[in-house]
Amino acid sequence: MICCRAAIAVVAMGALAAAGEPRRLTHDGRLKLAPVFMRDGQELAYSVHDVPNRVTVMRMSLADGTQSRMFPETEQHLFDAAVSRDGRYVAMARSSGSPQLHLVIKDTAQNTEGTYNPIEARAGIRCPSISPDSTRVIFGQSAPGGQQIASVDMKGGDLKLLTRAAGINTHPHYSSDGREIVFSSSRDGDFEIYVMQADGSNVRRLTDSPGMDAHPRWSPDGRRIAFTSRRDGNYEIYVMNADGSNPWNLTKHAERDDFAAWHPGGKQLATISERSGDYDVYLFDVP
Amino acid sequence: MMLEVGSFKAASCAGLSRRAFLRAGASVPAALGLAPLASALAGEQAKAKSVLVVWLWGGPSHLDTFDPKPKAPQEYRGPFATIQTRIPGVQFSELLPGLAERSHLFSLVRTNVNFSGDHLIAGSIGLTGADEGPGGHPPNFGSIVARQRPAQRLPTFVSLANGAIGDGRGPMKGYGGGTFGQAYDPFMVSCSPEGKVEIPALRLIDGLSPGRLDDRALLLGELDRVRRQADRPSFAQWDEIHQRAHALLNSSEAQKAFDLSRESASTREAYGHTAFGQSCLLGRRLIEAGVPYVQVNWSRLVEVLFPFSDYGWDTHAENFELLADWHGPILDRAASALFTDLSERGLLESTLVVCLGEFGRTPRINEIASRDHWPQCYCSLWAGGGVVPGRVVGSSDKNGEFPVNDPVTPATVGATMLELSGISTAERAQLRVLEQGRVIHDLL
Repeated sequence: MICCRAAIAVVAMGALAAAGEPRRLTHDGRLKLAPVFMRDGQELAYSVHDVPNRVTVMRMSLADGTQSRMFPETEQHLFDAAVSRDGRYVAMARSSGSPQLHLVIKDTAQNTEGTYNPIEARAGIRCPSISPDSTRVIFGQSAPGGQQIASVDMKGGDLKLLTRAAGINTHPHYSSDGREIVFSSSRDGDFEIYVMQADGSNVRRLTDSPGMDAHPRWSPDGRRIAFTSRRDGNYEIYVMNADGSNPWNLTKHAERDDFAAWHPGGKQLATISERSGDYDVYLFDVP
Repeated sequence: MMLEVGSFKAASCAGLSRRAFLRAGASVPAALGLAPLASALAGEQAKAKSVLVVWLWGGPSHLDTFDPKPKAPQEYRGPFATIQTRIPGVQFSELLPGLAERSHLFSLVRTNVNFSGDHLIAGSIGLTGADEGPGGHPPNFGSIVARQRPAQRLPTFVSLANGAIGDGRGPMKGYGGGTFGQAYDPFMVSCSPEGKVEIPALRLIDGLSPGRLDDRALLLGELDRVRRQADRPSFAQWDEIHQRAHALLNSSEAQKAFDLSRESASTREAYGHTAFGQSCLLGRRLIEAGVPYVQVNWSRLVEVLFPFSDYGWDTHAENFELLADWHGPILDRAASALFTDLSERGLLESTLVVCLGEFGRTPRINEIASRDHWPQCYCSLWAGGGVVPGRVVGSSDKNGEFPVNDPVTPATVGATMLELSGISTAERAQLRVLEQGRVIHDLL
C-alpha cells in the first residue's frame, strides 16, 4: 500500500523523469542539507539556508511543489530532520543562543517535544534517525577527540552510547527492520561506511575506497544502501548492496551530488545536488 | 543592471537625519580614489598592477585544507582523505579537488604565523602586519596602496563583504586606514548569492533612489536642506564624500565594473551562486577594470548552524561537517574559478592574488570533535603578480603544529605584497609602515 501511494505521489508531479535524467524539485538555488521523505513519499522535508542568518526545515508537496516552513513558529535554527515512519515524530538538530546543538524530538500528535542536550557545553548532535518502531532516536554526537553514535528514547532520555571508536563516527541510519544501523566512520583513516547491530555490536566495514564515503541511507526494502562517495574525485551518489558489494555511481555528474534520501517506494532517491552553481533538491530514478 | 546603490526603500525622499548624515560621513572613504590624495609613486617597476586578497575570515583549518597530515595520529589528522596536487609530493584535503587541479597556477606557503589567537587582534595584524601602537592601528595593506597608488576614476581599495568584518565584539580595527585616517578606509561593497551588488556607503539620503540622484535640482535642494541641518565641518567632509559617490554613480567604468549581469551565465555559474562565489567574480571584474586593491572577504552568513557564531571559518564546533558540507565545496568552486578566469583572461600575470585567513586551527582535535584557534602555523596561497607558481614554501612539522623553517609573519606577507606592487622598502620606511617586513624571496 505504501508503494502504491508513493507511486501516485510521484506520478502526480508530472510523470517520472526519463532514465538518467533527474527531476529538479526546487529552484531557488540556496544552500541545502539533508532531504527526507515523509507522508509515504507525498512530501519531502529538507534543511535550507532560508534567510541570511537562519537554517530551517522546509516541507514540500511532491504533488504540486508547494513549500512552507515546517515549524514557522520558531526562529531557532533547525536542520537534519528525520521523520518517523508514521509521520508522528520529527527529530532535528536545533541551535539557538549557544554553541550547543540540541536534539529535539517533536511529537506532532501530542504537540510536545523531547530534547537531549549533550553534557559538554559546546557539543552538538547531528544526523538523527528514528527507529522504525518509533522508540529510539540515534544520532552522531561530538565527544573528546571525535564523534560517537548514541541513542535516546523519544523523550530524549535513556542515553546509550553505541560506538566507542576513534575518529568521527556519525551519519547513522536505521535499517527498515530496525535491527541494524549503517553509519560513517573515520576510525580507519578517512570516512568509510560501516554497519552494526542496533545495540552497537558486530561492527562491519562495508566500503574501502580512496576518498570520503559518507551519509549512508538504507533502502526501504533493506537490500541496498545509498551513500555519498568521493572515490571518483567528486561528490557522487553511489548505491551498493547491503553487504557492501557491487557499488555503482548513480549520479555521474561533474558537480556535487550529496545527501541521498530514499523514496518509500524504493525506486527513487532525492539528493541535494549542485548544478550550474545552484544547490537544489533533485529526484533520481534508481534502476 | 544589477548595481544597487545603498538600500533605497522608497521613491519619496524621507529626508536625512543628522545621525544618518554623520554615519554616512564616517563610513565613506576617500579610497573611492576619485581625487588623488598622494603622489602616485609606483608603477613602472610593479610586477603586480593589482592585488586581490581573498580573506578567509575566521581562521581556516590548515590540516583540513592545504596542509593535511594523513600520517598524523587519529586525534590530529581528521576524517578527510588527501588528494595529489600538480605539485609533486604535495597533497591537499579531498575537499579541494579544483584547487589541487589548479595548483600549477599558484604557490603555497605552509609556515604562516600570527601573534594572537584573538580574531580581532590577529585579523588586524594579518591585514596590516603589526599590532596597534600608541598612535593607533597601522593601515591595512590596501590602504597603503590606496595612498601610494590612487586610482583615477575608480575606487582604489574595495572590500567586498556582507557587513563589517569582525566578531560579536565589533569590527576589527585593521580593516581600513588606521593611522592614515578614514580617508584610506576601503570602499565597502556587498554582493548577494544572486549577484546583487550593494554599496552601503552610498546610503546617503533615505529614500533617494539612484534615478533621483541624477535629478540635479532635487539633489541640490536636498543638499541645501542638509547644510542647514548640519554643522559646517561635518558637512564639508560629507559634501566631498557625496560628490565622490555621485561621481562614482555617474562613472560608466564603475557602473560596468560593478554590474555582474554583464557576465555570461556560464561564468557566473563557474564561481557558484554563493555570496563568496559571486564576490570573487566581482573582485575579478574590479581588477579587470583597474581597481588597484580588492579584498574579497569570505562572506559572513555562510555557516549559520549557530546564530551567534557567524564568523566565517571559525569552526570551533562542527568543523568537519561544515567544511565537508559547505565551506570546502564553496571555496573550492569559487577560488578555482577565480584562478582559471584570471589566467585565461591574461590577468594573472599582472594581478597578485593572496588567499589566507588570520590564523589556522588547532591540529589536535578538541573535546567536541572540532578545532580551535591556532596562530602558530597556517597556510596562504599566492599567485600572479610576479609569484612563481607551483612552489611550496616552508613546511610544518609532522602534526602541523609549528613551522619547521622560515616562519612567515603578517609583516612579511604585507611587505611581499607591497614590494610586488611597486611600493619599495624606501617608500614603506617613509610611510613608517612594514619597515621590518622582509620579502618571501622563495616565491619570486
